[in-house]
Amino acid sequence: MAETISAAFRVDFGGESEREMLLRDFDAAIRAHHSGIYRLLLAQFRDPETAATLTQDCLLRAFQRRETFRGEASLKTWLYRIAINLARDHQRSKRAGFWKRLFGGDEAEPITRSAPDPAPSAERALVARQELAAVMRAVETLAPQQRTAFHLRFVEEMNNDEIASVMGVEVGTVKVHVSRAVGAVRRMTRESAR
Amino acid sequence: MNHLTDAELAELLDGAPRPDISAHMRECGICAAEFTSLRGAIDAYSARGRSVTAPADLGFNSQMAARRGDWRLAFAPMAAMVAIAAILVALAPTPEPPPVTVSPDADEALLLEIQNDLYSDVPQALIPAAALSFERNRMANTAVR
Repeated sequence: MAETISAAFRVDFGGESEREMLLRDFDAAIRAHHSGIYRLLLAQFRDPETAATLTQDCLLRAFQRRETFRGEASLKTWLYRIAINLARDHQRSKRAGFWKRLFGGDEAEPITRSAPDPAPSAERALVARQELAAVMRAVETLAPQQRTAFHLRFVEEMNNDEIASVMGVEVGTVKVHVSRAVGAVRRMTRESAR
Repeated sequence: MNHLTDAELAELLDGAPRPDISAHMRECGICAAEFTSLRGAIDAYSARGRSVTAPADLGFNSQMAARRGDWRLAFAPMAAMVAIAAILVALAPTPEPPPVTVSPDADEALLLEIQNDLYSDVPQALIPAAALSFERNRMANTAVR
């Protein structure tokens, strides 16, 4: 099982393993993952500045520890795991931010506001916008672990094994997080349809 | 008829549902409609999420990071030496203040000083005579004691 997962994660660049690529040309190896790391951190903190800073920290840490990447998991999984750990550290060090949020001083910019609006037909566009808003509201209410699992599953399109590896939890725990997140989204979309 | 649970809907969204879930979906219009709506909403969310890209200035240059590391390494021995010196200074025993020694001739010196004060208005030529007189008086006083 572990071998299957490991083999599935391994990606070759024209015969060159991700590890070899990472050690030979670090910048080129990680370039494809900048945005994914940024999105993951943005979903976590809903603050572009924090996400950008932590993305830089993540890349720097990856560079400093590049020798430790053994290639057992994919480079993407390894990088996301570093990002998740940094996010946890940051969360711990920002406990004081709770008070700021409590008094409304830290209004987060939802991810969707910076994206373009699709407009197929007026009615369909309205429904789609309502549904999307419902998902956004539901995601806002999720616990950090659930939000991370939901993001990795549906935005980064990772499978449960990869998510478990990134989050450092069992696959069963990932399934619970995702199903609870889906439940929250389900209730919110139901309410918005009424 | 029991409708699908959250976990079963999540399994459906994963794309590999159990056969009984698939069968339920074929029979239950409510669950089918709900799944379609949920699928659409999550797809829209995913598409929006993926459209977000890292800021253009968020590039990472490993050469710069390496140089920063080298710079730190270059200063590491100096920092270590400063730290060791600080520790040695902190641990070194404080030198004791020199003992206050009282010269046995302190009294003599004091008397001489007083004598100079007393005869400061004596003309230069008579200072030896005045000194002789002072000395005689002093010896007389000592003998009396």
